[in-house]
Amino acid sequence: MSRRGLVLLACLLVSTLGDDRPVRAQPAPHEPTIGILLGPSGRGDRGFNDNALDGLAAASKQARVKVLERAAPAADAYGAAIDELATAGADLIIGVGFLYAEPFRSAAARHPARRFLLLDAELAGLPNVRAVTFRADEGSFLAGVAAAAESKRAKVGFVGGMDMPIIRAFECGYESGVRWAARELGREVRGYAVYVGATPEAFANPAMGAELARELIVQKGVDVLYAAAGASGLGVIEAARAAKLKAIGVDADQSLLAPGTVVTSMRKRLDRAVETAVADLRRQSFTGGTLVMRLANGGVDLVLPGALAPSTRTLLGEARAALVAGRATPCAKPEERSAPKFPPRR
Amino acid sequence: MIEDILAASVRIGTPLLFAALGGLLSERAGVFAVGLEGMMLAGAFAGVIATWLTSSLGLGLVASAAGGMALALVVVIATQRYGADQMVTGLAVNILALGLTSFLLRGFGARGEAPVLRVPTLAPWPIPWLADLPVLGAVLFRQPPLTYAGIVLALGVAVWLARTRAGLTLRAAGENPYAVFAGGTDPVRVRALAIVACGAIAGLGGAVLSLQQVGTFTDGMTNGRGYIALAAIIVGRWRPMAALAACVVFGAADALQLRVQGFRLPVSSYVIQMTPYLVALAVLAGVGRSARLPAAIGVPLLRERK
Repeated sequence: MSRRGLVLLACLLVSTLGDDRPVRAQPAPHEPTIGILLGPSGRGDRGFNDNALDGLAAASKQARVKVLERAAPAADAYGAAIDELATAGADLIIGVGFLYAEPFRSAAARHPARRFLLLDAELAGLPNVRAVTFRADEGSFLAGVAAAAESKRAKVGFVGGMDMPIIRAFECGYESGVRWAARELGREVRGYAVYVGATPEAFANPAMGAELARELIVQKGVDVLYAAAGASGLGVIEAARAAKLKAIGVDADQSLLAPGTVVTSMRKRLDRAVETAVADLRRQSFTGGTLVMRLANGGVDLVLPGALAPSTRTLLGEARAALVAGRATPCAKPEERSAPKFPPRR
Repeated sequence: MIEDILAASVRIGTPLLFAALGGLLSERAGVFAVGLEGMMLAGAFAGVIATWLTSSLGLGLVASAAGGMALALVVVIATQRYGADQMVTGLAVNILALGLTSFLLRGFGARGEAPVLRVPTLAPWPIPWLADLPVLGAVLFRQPPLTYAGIVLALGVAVWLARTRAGLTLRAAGENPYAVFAGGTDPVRVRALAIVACGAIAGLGGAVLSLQQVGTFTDGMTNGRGYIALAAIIVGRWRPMAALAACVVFGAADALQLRVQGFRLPVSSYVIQMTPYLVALAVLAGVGRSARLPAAIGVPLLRERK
């Protein structure tokens, strides 16, 4: 069906079903209905979507909520999917990932009585939309500290998926962490960063991820690898495992994929953002605006203790304190975040 | 450094080589092998599932070949039984494989989740003596088993096509199927067998990715390699050893691109990452002029039914 056809159909659906359900104004309902629109990788990605769903599961343990879960719609049907949830009575509609930013912008005006939670993207200026971003650079800073401390050869690597600002932030934070740890430890640590590709397919190419990791291992002598590359990261972990070296996972606790190889993992805590939003909704204190989830408010962290040496854990504690107190800054300015300047300058 | 790049070229070229050899059999018999991508993906998937269930890499390899063959059978039925367009069927099979493997994978997870099924990988087998040779040792003789198998297979296919009666019949099915018929052999059957063989070999190409390089299956993990293999067939002008060389060249383009990233050139990474494809385009443009397709490729053959 053509794009136009779908839009027409969506309009038709909206106009026939209507959104004429009596709108509950401020007082939140007793048992809130939560609609969640998943990102393209879907339920079971052990990353983003599962993370958000975990938050819903945790929220529903505290008190009953009704959950309406929807897989990612076709690219031109986002608006229709949101309208469907609004019509089905969702008090809060959660969008997992930046793809929902634009659709939420228009839908928020169409459904002023609904609340929206946008995860991992920016969207400001709408009273009923809360946009949550995660400081991946802060979490990656800790990953960099762990890598520098665990590296025997004082050489660490980073494998990114698609070369874009979001992933550059991972690299930049990692690099800063490596440099910070090198200073603390009083030794030189070299870092190397590579990317799988320049298109979204770069997140789904594990064989190339493995090849890149092998290159870093054999050619550069890297012995700890951090991958922010989606499914391509599985190849990086396999290469580290085959070479009996260490890897740092991402998105979820990936230690089960290769016990002994994956020493810790960096997570964006989408679950906490979801849990907080549901709790706010229940307390009728849900506010729109932008929220930055960072180390200080539990928005990003390393899976600890992990298989890390005690000295590494101590250093991580110091790094965490330094970050929270503002004594260490990972990629403070956005332009700094997207600037490729690995390996560390002397 | 050179030795490393060459070794990486061979590694990256190996999955391409299997797919190209399979596709070459199919195309020499007169059937476009557009479905290579899907056959590879089906093979990669079946291999991981079988290895995960039986913890035997050997059975995994058998399953990979079978997975590719299963998809090839779809092509056989559509194109040879019902005369469907070869190009369209191939594309359809690719899309089918992408959807079906992703769907079936979720059948192995709880609550419809896509599990990461970790399986052991085929470790490198250094060949005694030869592995210690300078340069060549690292490039050719410290590779995992499927890489050796691919090289042997290329030699085998080359000899078989050129020197045996069966190979001649296969080539005739792609050049002049009516002559095959006149010679007392059913060209439709020849083509069907060629497609099935193509599926088995391309399936093993998928196993190179999933069982030799990564040790798990992820959605769409072939990532367009089937199409690159198609290009390798054309660059190699439908000859096995030339296709092998083309696969290594494509592998080298990728291997170089990976290394160039490390030099921190003041060039956008997008430009660097497009170079392998520019190389492919340039080579195709150069070779394309002199390339000659098998005369009867794409020509549907239908038996008259009574």
